[in-house]
Amino acid sequence: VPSRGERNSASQPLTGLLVVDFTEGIAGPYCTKLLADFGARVVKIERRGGDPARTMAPFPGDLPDLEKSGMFLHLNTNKESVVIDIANTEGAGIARTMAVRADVVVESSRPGTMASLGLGADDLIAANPRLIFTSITPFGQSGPYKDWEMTEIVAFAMGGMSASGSAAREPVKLAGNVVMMQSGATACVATLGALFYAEEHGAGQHVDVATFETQNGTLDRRRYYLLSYEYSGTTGERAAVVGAGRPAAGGRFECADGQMVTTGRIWPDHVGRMVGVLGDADLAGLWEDMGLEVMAEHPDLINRLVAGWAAVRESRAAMREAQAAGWPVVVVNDPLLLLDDDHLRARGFWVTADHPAAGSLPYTGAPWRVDGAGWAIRRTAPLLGQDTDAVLAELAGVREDEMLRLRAAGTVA
Amino acid sequence: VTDRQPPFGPLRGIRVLDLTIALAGAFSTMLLADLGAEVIKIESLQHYPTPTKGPRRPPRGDDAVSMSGARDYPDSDPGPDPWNRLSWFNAQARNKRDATMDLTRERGRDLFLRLVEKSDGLIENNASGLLEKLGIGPDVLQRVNPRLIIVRMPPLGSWGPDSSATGFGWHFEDLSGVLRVQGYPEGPEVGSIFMDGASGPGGANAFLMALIQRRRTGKGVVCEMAQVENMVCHMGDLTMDAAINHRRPRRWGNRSPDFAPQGCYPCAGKDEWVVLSVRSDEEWVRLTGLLGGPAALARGALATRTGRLDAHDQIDLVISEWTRTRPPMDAARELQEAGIPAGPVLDEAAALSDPQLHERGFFHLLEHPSCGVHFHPGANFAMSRTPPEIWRAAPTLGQDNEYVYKDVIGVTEAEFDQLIAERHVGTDYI
Repeated sequence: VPSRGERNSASQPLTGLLVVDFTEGIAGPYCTKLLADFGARVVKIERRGGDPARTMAPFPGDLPDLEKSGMFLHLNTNKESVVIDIANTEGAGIARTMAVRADVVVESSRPGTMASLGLGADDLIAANPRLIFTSITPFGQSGPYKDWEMTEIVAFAMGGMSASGSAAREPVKLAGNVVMMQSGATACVATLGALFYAEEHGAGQHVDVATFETQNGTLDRRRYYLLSYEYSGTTGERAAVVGAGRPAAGGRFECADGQMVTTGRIWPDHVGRMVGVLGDADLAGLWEDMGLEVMAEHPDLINRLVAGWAAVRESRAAMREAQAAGWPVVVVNDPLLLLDDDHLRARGFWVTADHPAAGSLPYTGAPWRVDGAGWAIRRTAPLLGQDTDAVLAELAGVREDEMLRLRAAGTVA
Repeated sequence: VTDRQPPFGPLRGIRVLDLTIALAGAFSTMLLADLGAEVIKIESLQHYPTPTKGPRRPPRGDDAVSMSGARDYPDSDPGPDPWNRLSWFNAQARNKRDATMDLTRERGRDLFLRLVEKSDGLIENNASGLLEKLGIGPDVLQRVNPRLIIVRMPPLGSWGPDSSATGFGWHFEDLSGVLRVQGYPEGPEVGSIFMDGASGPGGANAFLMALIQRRRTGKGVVCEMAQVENMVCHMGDLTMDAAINHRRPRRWGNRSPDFAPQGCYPCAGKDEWVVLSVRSDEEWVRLTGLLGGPAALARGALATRTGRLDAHDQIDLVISEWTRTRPPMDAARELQEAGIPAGPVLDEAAALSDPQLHERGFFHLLEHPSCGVHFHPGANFAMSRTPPEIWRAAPTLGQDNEYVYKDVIGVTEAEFDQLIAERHVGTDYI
């Protein structure tokens, strides 16, 4: 096993780091994806049926298939899959042998479960004092809710959903599973902090990340709304349009290519630039006469002119023309259009990679670049148990004959 | 006040200069401050930062606009120094220091470079090119301090055909593609400022990776986190749906392709709600049991997820009858005790009295010179050996000038007095 001191020829920030990953679902795997994508070796320990994320949408034609879940493929790039039944004493022992050799262990099981299997933080850190043991759980390792279950909607309900949606209706969640992934990214922050400390001072520790807290501490209408309530006793109102109220003028407009651009709410600083871009003599006259009042007095005229301007331009050309004049207009994407976004494509953001079952697909690329690089897909998500033999031989010293016995007993797969 | 930052956290001894504006970058530096880094926010008396500290002269009165803005100030009163009293700033600036210098003047630039010499990192999310215009671009800074780690957080990155595009968070969230698939299935779509939120951990992670790399190489680097790209990484399941099935993903609202039923249900009381997800057929059996085995849910077709997805509207009516008679926390507790993921919709008042958050020490009572004593949200993580500390409330403008100039940069008393006269150093915007 490469130790920290031997990471000299590293080409990625975390090359040489060994992570033993017991996490399942979304938050934990997003954390270990970030570690893996930036160079760490991540050995993913899966239960016999596989990480439940393998059963999560999307699937080709919406037909579930453990090897074709778009969710799993996204979250598990660059990881190796080892199937061990850690509920079995011998299986737990094998997992432990690997875990104490690691730089980082990450897990997401119900508090107390790992300890009951001899894989608890105290136990492993006693065996390897430099180990970082990160737990990413719904509510953390302590407190009255620690055994509660959580999904994406529960995480958002308990941390910000009260302000999301229409005041006339039920609150509504954010798209997809963004809350869980942000929780994983926050766990990565704490883990990297602990790792830096371990490298400087030689001491590991238990990092306890609760999605309940990453969400109540997040920026999006929560952290400062909590302080606003403390300050003034008022709660955030539910509003579908976020960001300085519903504009009478401005918003989304359809372009010649059938796609849309948005002006957002038109900021006072930008009104003159917009008037210049639109080039309409009547509006220019009103702008000269009444200044910013034109926004409140003539929203219909402005909307009609912007609509006419957008309608005869391709969306990207409209964006660039406005931006060149300092008027913030951008194209409106959706996840499908995003795959063809001219800017992201030019930056090489999408990375096409091949998977033996799911085929060739575009993957989200680098979330950040360290010195212009640092991120790579070295391999796509693993097939279930594809690395069991090789990893157990290398990291747990399991011999071939033992492997046959363990497989026959169902301890590994 | 000569308050000293106690040594705590894994980043003790690491100094980070904060040149961020508005919220996203400030959330990154907050996470680093909670890890124990010394974060120094640099401001200028000459340039009032509206996106960071709110309007300089907030509207005051009992009209709707004034009232809605006033809620972000203590006792709904912006006071004589509204910039020191704004919740958006004070919620993320606790644990940070604040010093003033005018970077647009040669003297300010020189002082800044002296500070850079003694720092480990710099984080900024200004309009692209601003640092270069001020003569403090990365090449200049790293010539002064080759170990300096610079994290830049432009919305679309520093290169590429649209890298110079400007806009607010709501522009770039629409460009990121999330809004078309977010909100009620039959409309309207619903906005958020999730991108800024996601940028917080993103910028902090970039800094930490560079810091770990620096231990090996001895060299600082420039990191770039294009906020839209980081945001899109949180949407990988959605872009995979688009890529695999060549379609725009459905707008699911509160429902889910994986769990059925899933939704937000009305509870006893005004604007009170509970959410739940049924992840398996077994959990469905437990849910119907908890609901008292209603006949309407006894059909065999509902035994499978696909059957329940088809009958979701009818199922929701039955669940709502049950939830309507209970306060949200009671409903959530009963559901959780039956092993079904559920939670009350916690507004700010409910969260601030939540027993789990308090028992875990999430809130910290802090005294602020202008705002008084309030509970503040604390760190977003816990650590056993190097736990985060929340050692003080947000700084007021220039509160740490003496510390930063005399203790860190090392200016003399005479020089300090001269800097006051030259209006680099001060505690009021000009």
